[in-house]
Amino acid sequence: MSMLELLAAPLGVALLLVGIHTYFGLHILRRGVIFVDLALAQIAALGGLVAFLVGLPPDNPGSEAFSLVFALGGAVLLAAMRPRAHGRGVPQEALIGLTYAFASALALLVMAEAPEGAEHLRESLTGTLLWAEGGDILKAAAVYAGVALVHVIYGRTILKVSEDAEAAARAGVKVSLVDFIFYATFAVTVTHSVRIAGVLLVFVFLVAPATLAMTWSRGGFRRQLIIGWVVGLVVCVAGMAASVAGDLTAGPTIIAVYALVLAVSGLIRWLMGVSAPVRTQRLAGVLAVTGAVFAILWGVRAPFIDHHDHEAHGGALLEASPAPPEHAADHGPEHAPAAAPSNDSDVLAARLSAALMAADGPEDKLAACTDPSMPVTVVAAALASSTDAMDKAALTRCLETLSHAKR
Amino acid sequence: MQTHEGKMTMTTLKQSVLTLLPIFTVAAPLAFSAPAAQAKVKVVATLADYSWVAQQIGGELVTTSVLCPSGQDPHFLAPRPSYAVEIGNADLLISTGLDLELWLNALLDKAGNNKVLPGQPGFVRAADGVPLLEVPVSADRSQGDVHVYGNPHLNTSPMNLRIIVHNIALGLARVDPAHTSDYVAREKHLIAELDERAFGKELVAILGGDTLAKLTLKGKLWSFLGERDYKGQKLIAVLGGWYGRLRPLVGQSLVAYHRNWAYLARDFDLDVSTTVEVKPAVAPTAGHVAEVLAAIERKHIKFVLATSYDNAAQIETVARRANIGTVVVPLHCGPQGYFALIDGWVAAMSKQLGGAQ
Repeated sequence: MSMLELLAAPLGVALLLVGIHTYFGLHILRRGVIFVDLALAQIAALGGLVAFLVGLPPDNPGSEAFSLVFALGGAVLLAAMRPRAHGRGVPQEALIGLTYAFASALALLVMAEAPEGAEHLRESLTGTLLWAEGGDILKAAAVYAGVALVHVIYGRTILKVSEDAEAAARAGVKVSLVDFIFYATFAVTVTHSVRIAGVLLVFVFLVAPATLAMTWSRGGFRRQLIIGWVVGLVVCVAGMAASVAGDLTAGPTIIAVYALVLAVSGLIRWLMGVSAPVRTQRLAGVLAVTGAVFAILWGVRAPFIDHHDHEAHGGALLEASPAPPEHAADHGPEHAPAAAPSNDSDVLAARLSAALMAADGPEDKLAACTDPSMPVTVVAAALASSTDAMDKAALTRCLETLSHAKR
Repeated sequence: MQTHEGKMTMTTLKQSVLTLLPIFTVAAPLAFSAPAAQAKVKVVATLADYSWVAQQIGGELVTTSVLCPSGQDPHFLAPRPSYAVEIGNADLLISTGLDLELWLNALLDKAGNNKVLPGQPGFVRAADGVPLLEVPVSADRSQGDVHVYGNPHLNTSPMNLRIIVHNIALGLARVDPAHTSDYVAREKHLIAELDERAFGKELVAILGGDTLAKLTLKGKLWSFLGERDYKGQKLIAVLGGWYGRLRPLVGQSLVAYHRNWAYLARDFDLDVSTTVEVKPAVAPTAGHVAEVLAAIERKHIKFVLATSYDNAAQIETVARRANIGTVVVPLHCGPQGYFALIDGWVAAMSKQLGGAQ
């Protein structure tokens, strides 16, 4: 079993995610509703928790249906928000952020009633991209194909609304209806992809390629889409490769690669379009600031380091230490788990009563006291002092057996 | 060799090939079987305690690795690609076998190693034969029970570990029957050392480890030792080891962070019903903290017991407000092994109890 084999299916799923989310990301940046996916994902997660409360575990298809119904409800809410927000000069992002916060708070309240569900919610938020299987690719492909079909048919109208809703409304487009179609298909997509990849990765898949594409191309939607796809493909493959090379969790690694690409892209943009001397100055400045930050962090760290702590928390796959040699050597045969033979009647008496106390039932008690090396006197003394009926019965029978044997 | 002699009339080239052939026929199996005969049994354990046991019993015959590193909450393990690869290449997989390592099933699906699936010879269910505590009466989780089979934190009692040692020895003998006698011998040694560290050499010599373990598992250790006369005193005077040093702990009440400590509580007749968290994974409310503080007062609780991965800030807050101590210890063993882990627990707790160090 190789790492590549292991990561083939996750990579396939990741590429599907790149395909659909780059597209939605371009719309979302145009609309200025960046956190809408977080809100929808949280509402969908809330649906999953409620499903758990009514007896549907997260692996039940009913749970997914609950999530979907909740997310579609969220889509209606989002479509209804736009005119109300804009009419009062409130940015829609404010209402979206509040929706996210309310859904999260509700989820926390529901969680208190279903702690087991909490674990699964946590799972759904960190994502399980690594566990994607071949079947997941087919399922994701089917869901996304359905969504894509809607967008092939209504794509032009949806784009008009995304780019300039007021102009579209003047041209006779029913903005609220188009918004609903957009958010509903988006909700279906996000609900599904969050279950595969987790909220964090889905958010990055939505926003990062679209951001890069819009940074580097002022051109049309189609051109930006292609740039986004290429960037997404390259970053995904690079992220997966880094995850294999460094044995790192796949999702966060891909996100880290995106961060790197965005930082480099931003730096290049900042250095472009200025004269060569200014460029050199800026580059030197960046290097100096980076160096200074590292130096400060290092200086701050040193006095706080606890060396014992540092040693105790080793690598992830901790190799167990071999047996300390002194333990392996100092065992003689007298250390066998069964008690060693003894002639001391006090020892034998204590041993007998302990064995009787530890025994489970009449049979076990009889077995416990029927030790041929046990002197008759010890058994007789135990019988004389015993107060427990079951012990007495066992000791009596035992005494008979022993006196027979001795005779 | 006879067949080769019959072909001596062939060309020189063929002859030279044929003279080499016997060398190959002798050397090749040697070359391939030599590493196979010495191949170590690859043991993968979910928890460090299990891998430590496997290393003690297997010695140079095995290699061990751990999926959940010490200091990490085994309830929640973030998946890494290498975990599935480790299991894919394993000869023996050791897991608690309850619902502690919930992440293991997904790993097993991914690893595609049929040898180590539950029920196969290559799978050791550590919990086999361990009398489980806190088994829920109803399975509806209304009490916030994360664990439907019972409390899975088995290693909090050395007497449970004693049973686990046996299970792991059986597992090693199953996948590597040629070395059964080695595994059996080292299992005996390990259990003997565990018994002595637990109860002291003298008491083990009098009663035997098996009987002491049985008494402890039944919760009868303290009543028996306290009442039984032995050479003019009570037998408990002879008790040494971990259990002897923690004698002041018997019958006490403690505050725990999470319900990890059921088996320790059984061994020492403890009341650990007061927990800082309301239910597993549910953060405490103000009312609950007030209840905990009241319980500390009422039950004369001396310290808060928590694992190093529990919420340190909450533990500190509770301890400071109640003006009691804290014992924050790792729940699973580190590179120094299980005996060192329990030594650490015993030292930390007896310090809080004001007992001997």
